This record gives sequence, C-alpha cells and structure tokens, in this order.
Amino acid sequence: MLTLDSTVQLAPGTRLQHDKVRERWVLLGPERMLIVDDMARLILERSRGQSIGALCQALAAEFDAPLATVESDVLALFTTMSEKGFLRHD
Amino acid sequence: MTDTALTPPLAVLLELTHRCPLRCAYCSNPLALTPASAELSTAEWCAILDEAAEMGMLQVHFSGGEPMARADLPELVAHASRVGLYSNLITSGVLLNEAKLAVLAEAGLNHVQLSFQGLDEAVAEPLSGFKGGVAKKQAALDLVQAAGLALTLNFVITRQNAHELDAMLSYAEEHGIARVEVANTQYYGWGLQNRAALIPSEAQLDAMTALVTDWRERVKGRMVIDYVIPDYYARRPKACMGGWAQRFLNVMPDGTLLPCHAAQTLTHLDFPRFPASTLNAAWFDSPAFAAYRGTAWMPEPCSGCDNKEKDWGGCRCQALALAGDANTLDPVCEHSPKHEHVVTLARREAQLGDVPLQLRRFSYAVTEE
Repeated sequence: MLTLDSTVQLAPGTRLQHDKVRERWVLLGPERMLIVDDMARLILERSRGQSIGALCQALAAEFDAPLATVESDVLALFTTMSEKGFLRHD
Repeated sequence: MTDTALTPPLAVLLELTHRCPLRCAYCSNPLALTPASAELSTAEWCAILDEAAEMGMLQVHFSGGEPMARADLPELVAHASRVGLYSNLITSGVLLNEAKLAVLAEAGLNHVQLSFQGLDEAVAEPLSGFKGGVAKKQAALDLVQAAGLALTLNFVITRQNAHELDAMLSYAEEHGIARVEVANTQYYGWGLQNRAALIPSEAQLDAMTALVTDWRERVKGRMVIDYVIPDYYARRPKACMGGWAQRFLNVMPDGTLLPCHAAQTLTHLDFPRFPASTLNAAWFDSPAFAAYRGTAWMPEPCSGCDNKEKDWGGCRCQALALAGDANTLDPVCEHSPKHEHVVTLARREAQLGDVPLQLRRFSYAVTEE
C-alpha cells in the first residue's frame, strides 16, 4: 500500500524515454508502455530520493496548489504506475 | 483508424532463427520452419534495428525459435542498445549460462522473458520434447536474478499443466518475480496441429480464471499477472496483435516482414521481404499490411459492431484456419455462423484425455561448450 511515507523508484527493467517520432515521453517496461504527460514526468523525476509526502509539499508550494489535492493526485498516479508494474515502492 | 492516422509500429519482433533445442507441441512458429541457411546475416539484422529505431519503434523483442541459438545475439543486443531500443529476450533459458548472460547484460539487455512448460519434469518433458528442461530453466532464473536483470516468467498453459497454476504462481512469488504471464497456448501452427491434445476444458479454464483473480488481488503492487486465455471459450475474439498492422511488425528468420508471426498462413497475401523491401515501405505502402488494417475491410456484421475498434475483427489466421476464409468472421466470435461448430469441437477435444502429441519436427541439437 502506497502512502505519503513511501518512496518510489522505477521498477527494474523500466525506463523513461523520449519518443522522438511521436514527440512525447513514455515509460517503457517489459511488453508494456505508458505515455506520460509533462506533469507526470516532472513528478516522476522529482520523486527520486524523497518521500511522496515531501515531494507533494514541494509541488504544492511550487505550483501554489492545495496540498490535499496534490497528495491525492500524486498517490493516484503512483498507485496506477505501481499496479501496472512500472514502479516499486518501499 | 484511417490511413491519415497511420503511425509507425511501437515494437518489432525479430524471429532471429527457427532453430531451438526444444520441440514444443504448441510452438508458434510456422509448420514450414526456415532452415539456418536462409537466416539473415548479422549485418542485415543490425540494419533492421537501425531502421526500426529511425521509424520510431521503441522496443525490440528477440525471439525465435531460441534466439540464443544465434551466436551473434550479444552483438544484436548491443546494437539495439546503441540505437536506443528497449530490448527483450524471449528465451527457453536452456542455453543460458553465467558467461553468456554476463555478455548479454554487458550488451545492455533490458529484460528477459523465460518460458516454462510447468514445474513438473514429468509434464514438461513430453510437452517440450526436452529432457531436464525444468531444472535448466530454474537455473536460468537464478542466473538472470543474480545478474540483476528484469525478468518475466511465462507459463505456457495446456490441459496437461493447467492444474499446476497455483504452484507456478507460488513459485514466482517465492522468487520475488515482478511480472508473470499465464499464457494459454494459442492454437496456430503447431498448436493448432495439436489442439485436440492440448486444449483445456472450460472447467479447467474457469478454475484458472478464479485463481488468477485471487492471486492478482493478493500480489497487487508486487507482482503483475498477465493472463491470456484460449479464445475459443470467449464470446468475442481477441484483438490479435492489438489490431492487424497497427502496433507490431514481425521479421521472420529469412527477412519476411509480417504484421503477425502467424500471418504466412494467409497465402493469398504477398508479404514483403527485407532487404528487398524496407520496414517503412512494408508498413506504410504494402498491400499485404493494408489488407486487414482498421475497419474498412470488414464484412457484416463486423462493420456495424460496437466492438469493431476493440477486437478489430479478431484474427484473420483463425478465420482462415477454422472457417476456411480469411475475409470472414473470426469463428470464436459468437456472431459467427461457425461459432457453435468450432466451440463444440474444442469442447469435445478437451474431453479426449491423453492424445499423442506431434512434437515440432525440425530441431536443433544442443552442443555443450
């Protein structure tokens, strides 16, 4: 179960790659692919080395957004990515 | 999908060779196997990888036969890495050893998919025609994990091993496997030849589905389970390859370019071949790739069906093999006039018990190095 105390990392065999022909970013994993928009990519890149809670606080401050909304959005995003096998969490 | 929306494939599947130490009765290779002498050269495979990356493909699957039967596999993996393709090795694992794996890892291999015909040698050996395969595969699993490579276990399901499913999933969980495919045999090529011997009963399938549902809930977030059923027991056909010539491009050992590895059974189509044709020309310009792409080709009632952009009319090879016409409905669809006949036949076959298997005939001898 993913919580604000969790930290996430890309699962083994997963990588974030620029799809130059289609001009978008994708997460590539074993026989699967997930298109990530600019915000999801930014959240993923910032997630390294900090808890989801700390990440959300930083994002809420930077984008002047309500913390509760940021937290539920980020948890939902990471839960989906994790259930699809793209993320591991502690 | 119209021609104006046609985008390049997402992945290329390279059947590097049809040689294989195993002789699986369900092998997805064509009945007419390509001899080693007709296989493309290293330089030709590298040129294919170059073009795939240039076109915008993102992933390459190295398959076969047994792709490790090609001595140049590490070179091809290294080339895929250089051009930025995500590489996946689809292997039986029986030719793997520590040294060979180290070379592949060094070449930048991203992922290994290791197939099992079950965990019981007494069941797996007759299915694969290979002695001691389970032990070799278990050793391969340990090597891949020790090398830190991402790993998917692919359990091929037939009525002989369907009862082992819970044990298979437990085995995967005990080994901390992040992704498992529970892949019921698909009935094409050798699998179709052996359908009467292989197809599980509906009761077996229901038990599998219930197990997979339970397991998925239990291992959520730790282990992803992909589940493929034999579509004879479904009401609607599968979207074969995500739709004919929409996502994947396959290259056969001799360079023949196909939208699906089984498509050569459609002998009325003239498939292009590399290097006479580029991948780009095959995908965008060849009549064979255009033949069943999208929905324009569809007969009634497919063309008026709400599912037409979900299942894309099912599988053309299956329509030909089971209904005798590649242009008609895939008979596993409940709207096909042949549906009852085909499903009844499968149900009957599933009750036949022990039927002799016809193992894949041309084989590749393992030599110890």
